[in-house]
Amino acid sequence: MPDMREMAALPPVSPSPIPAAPGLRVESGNAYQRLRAIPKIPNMLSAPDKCILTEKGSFDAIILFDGWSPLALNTVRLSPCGQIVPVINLSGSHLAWADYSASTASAVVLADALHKVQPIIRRIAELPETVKGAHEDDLILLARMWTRDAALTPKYDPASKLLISYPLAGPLPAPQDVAWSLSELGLLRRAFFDRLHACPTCQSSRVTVREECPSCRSANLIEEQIVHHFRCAHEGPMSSFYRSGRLVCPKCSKYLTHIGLDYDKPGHVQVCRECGNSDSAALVGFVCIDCGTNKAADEITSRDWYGYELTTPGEQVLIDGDFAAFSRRKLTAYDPVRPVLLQMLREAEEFGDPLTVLSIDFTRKDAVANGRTSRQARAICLETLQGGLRPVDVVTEYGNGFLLALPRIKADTARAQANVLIKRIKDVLRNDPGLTISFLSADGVRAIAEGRQ
Amino acid sequence: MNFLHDAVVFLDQLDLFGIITMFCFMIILEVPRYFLGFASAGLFHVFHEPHSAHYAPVALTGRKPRISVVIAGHNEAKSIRDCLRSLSEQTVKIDQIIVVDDGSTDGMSSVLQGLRKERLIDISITNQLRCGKAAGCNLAVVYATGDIIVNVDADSSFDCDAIEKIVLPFRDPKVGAVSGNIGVRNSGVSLVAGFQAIEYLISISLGKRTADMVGMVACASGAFSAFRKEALVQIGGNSSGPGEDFDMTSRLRRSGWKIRFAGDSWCMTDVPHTLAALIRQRRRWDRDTLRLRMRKFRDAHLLGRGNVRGAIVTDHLDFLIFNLLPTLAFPAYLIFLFWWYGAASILILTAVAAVYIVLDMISFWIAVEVSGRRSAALWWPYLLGYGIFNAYIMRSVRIFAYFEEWVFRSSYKDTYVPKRVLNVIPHY
Repeated sequence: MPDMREMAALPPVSPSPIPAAPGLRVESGNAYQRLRAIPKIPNMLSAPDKCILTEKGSFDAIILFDGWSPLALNTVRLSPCGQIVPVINLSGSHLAWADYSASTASAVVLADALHKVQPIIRRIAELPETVKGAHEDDLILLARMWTRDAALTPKYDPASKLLISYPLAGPLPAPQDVAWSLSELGLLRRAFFDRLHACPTCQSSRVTVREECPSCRSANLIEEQIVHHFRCAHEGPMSSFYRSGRLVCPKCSKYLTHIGLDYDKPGHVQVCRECGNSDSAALVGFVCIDCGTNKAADEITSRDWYGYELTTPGEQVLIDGDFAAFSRRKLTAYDPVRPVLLQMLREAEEFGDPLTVLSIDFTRKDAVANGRTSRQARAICLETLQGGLRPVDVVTEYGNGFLLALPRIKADTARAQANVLIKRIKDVLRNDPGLTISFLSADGVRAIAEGRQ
Repeated sequence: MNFLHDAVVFLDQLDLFGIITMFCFMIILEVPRYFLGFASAGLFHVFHEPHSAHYAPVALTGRKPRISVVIAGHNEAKSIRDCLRSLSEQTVKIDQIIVVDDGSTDGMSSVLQGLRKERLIDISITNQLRCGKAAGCNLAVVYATGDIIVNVDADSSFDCDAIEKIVLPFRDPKVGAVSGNIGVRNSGVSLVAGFQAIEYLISISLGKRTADMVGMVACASGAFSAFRKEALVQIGGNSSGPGEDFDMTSRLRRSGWKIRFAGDSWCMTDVPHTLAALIRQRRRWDRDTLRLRMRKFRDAHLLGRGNVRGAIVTDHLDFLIFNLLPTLAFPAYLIFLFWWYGAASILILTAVAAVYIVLDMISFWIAVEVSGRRSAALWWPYLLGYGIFNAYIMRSVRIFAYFEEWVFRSSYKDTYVPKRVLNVIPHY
């Protein structure tokens, strides 16, 4: 691990040509390429032709050498373009999302690495400046996919608590959520990859599955066969029939000699060595490796994972370099609820009737994380809300929850009613979604109705 | 009108001996058994056992006994949930519920796993091969930890105080088994089911109560009975073969255990609602009755031999005189009537039927009063046909069943027990 204070004390290196490694050329056209080395380029190494090392300003690639620190890398990545430039890892240590990795650093390897990442560098150069310097996760993810000319493909990753990682996303936090949102906007196209169980307590997917005693949930089970003696109708565990190595009926003391004629073995039981309970079938149980929670199969949650591809609108957003404008366009797209809402607002104003519009939002996002559980949870919420409201009330999905428009109801009555509905939802959902109520002002309602928000 | 005129003339010509001859069958074999016994039970109940005292829950003395409920069922996937739901509503804690799926093919095993997760069952065991109800119950008993083991049918459901009431007689340490009361759940489904509802009320609610008064409860019903585990273990549980409930009760009685009837402990069950299904069921029951009473336990009249006691002998004689004899004598009585009285026998049989209706009404009224199920009074229209149905149709079925058992030993071909078991069990 390099000493950060030592690094900070290093005098800034002015851009200067580095002698080229013999026989290797970087296809970078006429311009010099700016490289950021972390911690610094080893003394015995020289950079390829037309490359300069820089410690400030923008750069075209990051090269990691032995002794690099994640903290230093993160600091560097905060620079403009730092989130999307290629990362070359020559340190020998593992970095799953590096664009190029090698176990040793040599001039040949370095030149090869730079050669390999040239397409990325060229594509980054084509991006508008607003995208290159973006700090929004959405835009960074789109840019990384486009510059690498690759799909966002999930990969099983035992090191991750979620058991899945997206190497292409780099160190973006929760890329699955970002990608899901982008796919909802039509900028990415998703394809199902896998469904993983997740611990309802800590959301980890590192869970083990095992057979458990239905009584005490111990996994210490043994299987024992059941023996049925035809003649006297005694039926019991095989151990009770064993006497001196032979099967003897414990009820009538007759020897059981011929299976099918004297006796048979119609089934088996799982016997728990901890509590002594016997049952034909063991329960399937899940134990979370991370937090130790033990849950039955019907208590465990699941999460769907998807791979994503960039769509034409997604590429257009990158070309335009204005993600915010796209989001606005999307919001103003036709929504059948909006005219209804607008009409309700007009009626309320015309006749002086109260109109209460409120939003119910999920604050515990993990409880309704994307995937099957989320969709079921949302459907249950919507159904519960619709079931508890009048036919004239309007319920629609909105933002991170639901929007309720309740004509001819005052705010306090509506709050009481909403609280009742939230309680009902909590009763039916497995995990508390942390629902909160917020009231919308007349202007806020009008903005939504007119598609301005 | 001519028929009535002839009838009056005919009756007018009869002396007392003639009347007794004509109605001998009913006077000797029906009236004492079905009327006097029930009347005495009813009167005893009304004057000596006020409902309030009878129904008051009484704590068992000493250590609270553990209660295990065992259910062995074959293809009961549809009915088991209702059964368990009613058990979960009981006024006393059931310490353990064990269900044995005896080789079902209707998905009962997976239903049980679901019920197991809902904590409606403590232990569920699946026999991949059908072993028969007797073996299934025995298997459940192996895992039962209760002092009292309540054996119920999967297609039954229970009043919420049924378990509380059925365990009360175990305060007497000599009681080895208690039979619960059984009512018909589907009485309104068909005429046949309605007849059976009346039959159950009279023969179980009233008949077993009468038998309980004199210590002659002969059968702890397989649908709903409780057993002291100590007694069960002593006799080795169920024996192979059909009719296991009567068989086990007989062995308990011979081992010196008392058998009681808990008339206030109600179990409701569905009865066959078609005539064909009823006939199949009754043929099986009657074959088993004959095989067990007249073959396996044929020495029941030999007082003092083995463990045969007075009540066992009395019960056996009761069967011989008031069940077997009337059944076998009935065809002879009909032949005699038609041979002796010719066309007038129609008149006689009509008069007998009218008397049956009157007797049934009286018995029914007593049964309703004694059982405390006033709602059962609504079944009274069925009484108009109940006596005739029993006397002619069900008695004919019984005659046939006794015949096929006596001659062909048909109970050993019964599919109620798997063939591989029937092949090796002792044949009596």
